[in-house]
Amino acid sequence: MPNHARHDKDEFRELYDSAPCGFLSTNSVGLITRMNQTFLELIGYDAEEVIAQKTLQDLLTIGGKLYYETHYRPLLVHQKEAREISFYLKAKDGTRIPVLVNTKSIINESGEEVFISTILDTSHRKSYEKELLVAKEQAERLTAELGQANEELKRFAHVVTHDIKTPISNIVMMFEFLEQNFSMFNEEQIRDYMGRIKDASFRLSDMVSRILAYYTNSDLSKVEPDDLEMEGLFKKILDICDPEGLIHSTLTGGCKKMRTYSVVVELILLNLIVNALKYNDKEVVEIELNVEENEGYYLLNVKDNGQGIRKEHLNTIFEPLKTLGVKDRFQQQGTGLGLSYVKKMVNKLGGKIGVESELGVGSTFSFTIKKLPADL
Amino acid sequence: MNTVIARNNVTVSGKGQQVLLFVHGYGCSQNMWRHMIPNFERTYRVVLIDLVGSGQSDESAYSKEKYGSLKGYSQDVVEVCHELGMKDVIFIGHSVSSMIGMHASLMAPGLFKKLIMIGPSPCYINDGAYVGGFERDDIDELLETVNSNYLGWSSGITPVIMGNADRPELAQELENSFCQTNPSIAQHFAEVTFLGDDREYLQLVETETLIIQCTSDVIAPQAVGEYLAKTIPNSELRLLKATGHCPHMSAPQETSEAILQFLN
Repeated sequence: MPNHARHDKDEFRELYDSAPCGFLSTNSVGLITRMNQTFLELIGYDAEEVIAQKTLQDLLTIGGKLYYETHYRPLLVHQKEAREISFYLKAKDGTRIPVLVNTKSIINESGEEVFISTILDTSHRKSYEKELLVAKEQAERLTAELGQANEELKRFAHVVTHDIKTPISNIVMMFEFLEQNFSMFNEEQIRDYMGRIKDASFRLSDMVSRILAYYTNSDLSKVEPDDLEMEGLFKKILDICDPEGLIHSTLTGGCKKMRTYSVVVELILLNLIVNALKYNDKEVVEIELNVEENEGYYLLNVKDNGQGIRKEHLNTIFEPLKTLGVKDRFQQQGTGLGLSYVKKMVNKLGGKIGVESELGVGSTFSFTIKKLPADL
Repeated sequence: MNTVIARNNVTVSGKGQQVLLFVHGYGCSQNMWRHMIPNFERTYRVVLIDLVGSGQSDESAYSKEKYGSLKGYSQDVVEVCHELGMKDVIFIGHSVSSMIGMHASLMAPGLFKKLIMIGPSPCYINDGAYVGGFERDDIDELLETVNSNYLGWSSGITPVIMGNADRPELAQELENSFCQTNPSIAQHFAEVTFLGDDREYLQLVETETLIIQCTSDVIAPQAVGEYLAKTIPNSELRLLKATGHCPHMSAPQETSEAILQFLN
């Protein structure tokens, strides 16, 4: 062999062996027939342990072996080429090396099909990819959470509309009354009346802020519980739904104070009392709030003298979007949201809600609130 | 176009009355049968389908609910048979489609004359005395590999049309495309395939069944083939010299002969 030819051959050999990626040749049944030094160093085997002894598949992790059978091999059979396939090689010492494999089929001098592959170590890229993957999954999760939060917010809009409708109609009615009968009152009476309207408006505004705070933190773990004084709470709610003081209301029971998430209890009672008022057909509306406690729970009853609920409806009134088709005293149909949310809120407080009713006589809604651990 | 036919990209060829219905396994499409089909087209009516989510099927028909169980695919198989008015069908399924065929045979008794399973496994994960060949961790690793092989695939990359003068039949095929599936479908199908357990149904199979088992198949080891032959009442096991999990691709002649022998 002429000198320069030998020199070329040596140079190619060196280029092959020390190339910055692994080279691998396999025969038609997958056995490795040739590989370069870079590849051997990557997997930590000696040449004689590999040549005609191992297939590429033997050097893969189990997941890779499966992928090899289901994707890589079919690609080679049909397409004679596979690109950028991501595998883990299992080195002799058991370490896993992430690699990208490109393989191509060629016909050698003897007319046999040979597969040649380049093996690129992608350890660094892989850790970055993993980070990306984690970030992607996190983003997907966040998107789902946001979607859910958005749904909650939509429902919130419905509930708020529902919760504040009655207090607003009350205020409007008071205004209208004042407007129509202005000349009948003296200045002091007008001031007094205006003062009541103003109070009712402020209370309503305060309640809206609190509802908002509750729904934007609908996860109770983020809200601090507080002390609730029953008499004050009852009065406050009555002021909102009955600023003219027409309801005959009584507060009974041995429990005067509770430690809980006051805004939630306020919303529950507001809904129940607004209902008691709205669906009442008696001349004088009577509402009794009874509060008791035992070791683990606060027990609350809201009793009214309203029209009562039909027996067949008792089981379904806590389901979302159920209204009983009854018109309230303002001749408006319910939205069907109130009681299902009352139930949700009661459940959130670790309690249960139920109802007893007698047609034409009245209804009693009873619910429990689980005491917080610190109070036990 | 008819929805069932389009949904499963049904193709029909061959001269003959007897229907052979070929259904591909996980990761590929009906193309994988291409080396074997010429052996059957002379005497049989050959029907190929793509499972929904694979090959040229109608991807929009995919739903995680329906295809959360292999029975969703089986339902499609039965619908295709009804749509084409096929009776006494000989069903040939590779890998996971063996179980899809089995469920179809239970859903529509009498629809299949024979069941041929190539590299089947009713349960990939070892369970007590049962040898499936894998541990749960192994399957998780496969799912990770499937995932990582789609990670680098940008949707912005235009597929390159393969030019291959030697094999003109592939000329129109897109590079890497014939095994390409929507990544989230590939992931879900892998979960359904490799985490499934259909062992309880095997003893109910009434159809005459051939189990084609390869030598040193990583995915469906010989112990699994033997378990199937023992459990499916009217079945026989045929061991091939071919190695690997895809004898219809690596040894189409030997595989065809095994099928023809069983049919005659």
